Amino acid sequence: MASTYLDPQVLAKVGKLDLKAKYVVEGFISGMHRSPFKGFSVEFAQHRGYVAGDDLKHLDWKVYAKSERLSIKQYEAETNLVTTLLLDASESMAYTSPNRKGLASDKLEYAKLIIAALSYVVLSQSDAVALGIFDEKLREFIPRSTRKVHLNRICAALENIEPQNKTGVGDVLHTVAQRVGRRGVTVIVSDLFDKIENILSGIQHLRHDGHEVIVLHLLDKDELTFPFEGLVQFKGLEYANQVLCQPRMVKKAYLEELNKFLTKMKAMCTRNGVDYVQVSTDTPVDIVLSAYLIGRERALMSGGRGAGR
Amino acid sequence: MGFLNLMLAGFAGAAAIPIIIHLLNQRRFKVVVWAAMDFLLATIEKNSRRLQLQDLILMLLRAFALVFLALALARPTLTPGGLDLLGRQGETAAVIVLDNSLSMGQRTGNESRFDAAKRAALAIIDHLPKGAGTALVLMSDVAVDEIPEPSHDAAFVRAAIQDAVLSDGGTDVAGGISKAWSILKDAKALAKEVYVVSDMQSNAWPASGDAGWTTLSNELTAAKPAVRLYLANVSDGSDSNLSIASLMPVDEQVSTESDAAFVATLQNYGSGAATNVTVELLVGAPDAPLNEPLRIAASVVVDKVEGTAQVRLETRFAGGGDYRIAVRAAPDRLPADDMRSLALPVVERIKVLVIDGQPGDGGNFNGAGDFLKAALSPRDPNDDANKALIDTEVITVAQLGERSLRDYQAVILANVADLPTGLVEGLKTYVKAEGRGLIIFGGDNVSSVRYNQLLGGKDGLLPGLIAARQVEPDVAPSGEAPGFGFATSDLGHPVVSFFSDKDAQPFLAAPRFTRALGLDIDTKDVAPVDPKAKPDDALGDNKVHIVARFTGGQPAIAERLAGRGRVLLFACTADRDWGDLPLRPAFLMLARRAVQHVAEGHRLPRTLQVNDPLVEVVGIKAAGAQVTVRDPRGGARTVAAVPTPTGDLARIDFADTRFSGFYSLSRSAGGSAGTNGDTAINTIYAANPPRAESNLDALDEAGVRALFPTLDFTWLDGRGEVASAIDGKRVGREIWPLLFLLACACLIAESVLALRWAPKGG
Repeated sequence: MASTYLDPQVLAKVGKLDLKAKYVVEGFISGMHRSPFKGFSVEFAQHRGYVAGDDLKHLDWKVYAKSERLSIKQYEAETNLVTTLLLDASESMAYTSPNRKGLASDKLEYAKLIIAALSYVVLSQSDAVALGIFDEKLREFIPRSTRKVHLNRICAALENIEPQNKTGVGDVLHTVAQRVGRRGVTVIVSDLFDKIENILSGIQHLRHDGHEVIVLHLLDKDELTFPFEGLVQFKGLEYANQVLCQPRMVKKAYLEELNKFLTKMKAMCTRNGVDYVQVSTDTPVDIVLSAYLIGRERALMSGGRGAGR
Repeated sequence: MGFLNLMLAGFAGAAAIPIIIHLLNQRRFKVVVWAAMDFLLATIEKNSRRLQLQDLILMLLRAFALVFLALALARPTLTPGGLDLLGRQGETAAVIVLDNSLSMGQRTGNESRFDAAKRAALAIIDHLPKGAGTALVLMSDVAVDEIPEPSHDAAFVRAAIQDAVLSDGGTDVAGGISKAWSILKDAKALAKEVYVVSDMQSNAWPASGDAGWTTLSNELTAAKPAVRLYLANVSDGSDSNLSIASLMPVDEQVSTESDAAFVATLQNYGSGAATNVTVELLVGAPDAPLNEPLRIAASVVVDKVEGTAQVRLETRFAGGGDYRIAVRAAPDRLPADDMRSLALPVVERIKVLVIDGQPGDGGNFNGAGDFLKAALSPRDPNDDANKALIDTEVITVAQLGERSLRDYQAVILANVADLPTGLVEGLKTYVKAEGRGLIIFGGDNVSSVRYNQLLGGKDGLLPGLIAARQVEPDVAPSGEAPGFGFATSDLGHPVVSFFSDKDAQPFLAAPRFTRALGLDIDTKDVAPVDPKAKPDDALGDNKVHIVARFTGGQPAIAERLAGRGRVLLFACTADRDWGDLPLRPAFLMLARRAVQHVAEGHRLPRTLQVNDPLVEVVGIKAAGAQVTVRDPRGGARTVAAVPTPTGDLARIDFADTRFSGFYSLSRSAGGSAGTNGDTAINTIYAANPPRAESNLDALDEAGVRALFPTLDFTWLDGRGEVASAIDGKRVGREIWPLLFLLACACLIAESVLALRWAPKGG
């Protein structure tokens, strides 16, 4: 499965890492994620061939009767972790720095790399991954699947994404919360250029529903450092406004404003048990993800598993 | 406001550069498509006003710095009359000191220096700053504040300048500037200017170390604002001038008895000799009105005058009276000093009354009266063809009777013992109030006690007290005649000055005395002989002169100035009792000179220097009288006779003697003329310019600066374009240092603020 967004270097680094659920999630998988539920039917997902040792109660006798082949039913509950990846494809994600080097030409491209990598990780650990692409609302949703070929579908969807419309993270989170029935992990990859209270509301909805939320707050280095000189006319990506100013004169105030936002966002995430990772697009994706996943693993091992909700 | 480098002020346009740059920059920018607009907008919204203000402030500071710098380069000046930094209108107070001394009358062509000075003064008026107030001082050897306070009426000041007249006085530049300073000192003005328009005579300036001048120039320099001094020179550079420097009668007293001789001194200033100079002696009719022309009485041509030359001129007066005498040379470019005047009382007859206390026995020369009459009136009084000057009448005290002393110009008491009270009081009035003369000779009848009691003391007539002990000779060395004589030193007094000539001294040394009155004279009353009596001398302060001494040092002849008259006291006799003086030739001269001297009374000089006050002392009876003073230009003014503090005299003061020529005081007697001392007043005076004023040597700018190196002044060519010279000099206060500081302040402020407002870190 070749895809632009499956960077071998990235995959080499993160491919062997796991994305483990911090909190108790529904379903189970052989020892990876704990499930609170035991002994009730779960949704049939697919058949697989019987191998010695499988529990015979899951043998699909109808298939045997028809085909004299021994098949085991696989249920959703087997894929304990459902990871919903939410990709912000609003216009603000189209910002690109003129001196951008590397594979990702803009934030969206960078985010796609992250999405692809995470999808690979989740699918590699036989967990299900779903993808939601949003701007001011959920534009496209690819339901979860544990199949490896699901990665192709995800990558294909990534390639067709163009940034458009404004950012509406908060509303999208509410939609996702309603759409995703099972508890899982929701990873938001976005620049979060939305009102904090909206975002908070969405996150709290997800958390209330038992989801673990990971926020990868993606910002361009220019947005983080505001390095402009001279007289610059800034034209808005999402809004048809523009402003002419001397960046040097407003840099300090801008950075204060931004940092205030970032601080607030981080505090909000922390208060709500959300993993918050600030990502700068000048940091290689593999470093970002490997650092996060390793750190997350260590935190889980040292601090125990999440108590759930 | 003006500019010294106006063209450079154009660089102030450079102030537009920051503005243009700002505007150009507004058009030149790069476009960034930005995602985090919310943050940027929020930032700008919060800081836009502050940012705009900062931007504007920085731009303005840059612009103003360029403006101030350009203006500083243009060297603007703040002139009086223009706006000052506080926005008030400036005002200039100016004083024009116009030299109207005699030397300013020197002509070059049709124009005199005074004409040129007026022209320059008017030009100065026209170019004073708007709103300037101007005062006017006329400067000769007295400074007259013609306009005593700065006047804003330029027409009034111009008229005063045009109407100013030349005086015949000298020049005192320090006095003129001092008067100007006294006007400006309290004037409320931002700028103070003094313009001295003069021919800058070198003798008009004070000596370089003069304390008064040093104080004045320091005050001018230290004044705030400092007084700007302009010296406008109207001299044409020529210094040649011929003048009549002095005119003196040869004899102290001029009479009709003999030819009167006068010596005129000619002074030629300048390098070349004056040749064929005609000098005329002019004489006016006695007691004639001032405007009556003088006639030429004598004339002489002087071949060559180099430096100083003296000319003798003679005439004979037919009768007595007050004469106007003048000596005149041919007029040159400065005619005012080509004539010198003299007010001359000519004596026709001196009537002398000799009161002989021990008359002779008739026919023989025994009594003092005999000797005195022979000495004073040697001629037959009935010989009309050879009338003597002095008419001597000899009487005894008993014969005094109803005689009026007023009929005589002099009274001689010769060895008189009896001094009736009436005689004593009469003599006091006669001498003090009426200005006549008294001569007292000693003798055995002269009682020291009686004389001291009646005629001594402050209210008396004696020069000193007569001592109880007489002067007696020391033992004479063998071979020498016994007795003592007159000393032949210190013979400056007019009575004995004749004997100062070494050829005449033996005559004075010849008489021998065996006795003489001792005179106790208070040394503090003794004054040196001063040929020029000052007005205060006439006010009864009883000055005493030692006319002559004996060889032993004792006073031989003493004089007292008593009121308006004089008293001479001879310690010896006028007969042969105490010595052989009457038998000696010296007696003749002594007696005559004594009579002539006392007969003229103690009169103040009739011939003055221009601007010296004219003073006449009269008897107390004339106090309150209105006296008419006429001046050489035909003017007439009235002054009152004012009682003196002593209460026995009155004085008439007239100060305005700025013109040379003849003045007269006249008043008819009140009541019956001749009674009670209220006599008619009819006196002629002459005023002459100061001799030094004829020296036209002038100082140039370098000369003034060399004399007064610390004096700050601007030199102007008074005959050139004064106005443009003043305009060029009056640049006002340069304010470029202030502008330069402002420019620096703007640049520093811009740097500091730019640094402060620049974002840190980020």
